[in-house]
Amino acid sequence: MLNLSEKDKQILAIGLTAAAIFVILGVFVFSYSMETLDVQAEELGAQESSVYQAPFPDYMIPDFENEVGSILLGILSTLAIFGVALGVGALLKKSKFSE
Amino acid sequence: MHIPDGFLSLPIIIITFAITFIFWAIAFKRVGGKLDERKVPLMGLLTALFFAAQMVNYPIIGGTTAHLLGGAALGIILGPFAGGISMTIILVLQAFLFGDGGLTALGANVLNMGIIGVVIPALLVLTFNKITKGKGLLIWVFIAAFVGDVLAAIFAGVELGLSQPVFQYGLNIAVPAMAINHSVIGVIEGVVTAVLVGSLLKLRPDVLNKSSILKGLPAVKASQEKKE
Repeated sequence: MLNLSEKDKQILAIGLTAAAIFVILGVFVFSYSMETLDVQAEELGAQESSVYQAPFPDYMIPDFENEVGSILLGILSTLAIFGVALGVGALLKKSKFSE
Repeated sequence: MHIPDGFLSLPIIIITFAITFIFWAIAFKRVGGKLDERKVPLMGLLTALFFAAQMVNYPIIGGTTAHLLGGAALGIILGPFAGGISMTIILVLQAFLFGDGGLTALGANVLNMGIIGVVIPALLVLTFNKITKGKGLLIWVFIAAFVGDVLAAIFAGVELGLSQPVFQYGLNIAVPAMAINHSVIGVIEGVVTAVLVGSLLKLRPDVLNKSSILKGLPAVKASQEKKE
């Protein structure tokens, strides 16, 4: 499906490895999240009122909430997003959206 | 910066979705049928890379944390429209799979991070390049990424501030709080974006020759001529 040169395959491998490292860092070292918006919401006592229950809330697999599960989920979802973006890109390549 | 459900008023939800739909229509029309074959894997890679990068929450000031957005890099490397579509993919999947950002706030989140955070830096670098003819490029990339990040945060603050009484803080509190903290984040975003663009320019300038923003640079042009 992808017609890539050796150099392009190399850059793809480096990029996906970097993504996997980000996932591991995100799970093991930099997992605590308290953004400015969260602080403001906490000060106000504002509550989220979700209209939809996501299958993997807070980037965790329900009933399997540990580092291994989160890394697995992170890497699989990174690959899934890679696949979706490739699919959207391929559709856009031959799309008839343009006149 | 992902706004959850329940923080925005109905008028803000409607306005932000309307702007986002208009952007998507323009972006699909501009990119559709014109996306270069070599840009497809690059789009896939950068989308996956910045999705993963957004999982890293690093500490900033006052006990708060932040993560990279990647909007500036997507806009500068892929172009503003393909970059906007790429960031949209990240935000849609984050909302549907992980509940990161609300579905009712998806229009606002795409407007802030996928339009403002992507298009503004891309246009800034394009303008700086035209004026300076590529001189000091990485400084301009840094400034553009910084501005894109801070502006995206200001937009989020404005949307929240205008959503009273749903979100009780007005513009006078929501906007400065978002802008100040995101100035720190903007510096980091600027450094990372400049390092990424600089590395590609040095090591693989040919990857950038399909970028509507950078294709005119001498190093990128030279790599294209060499290839031909």
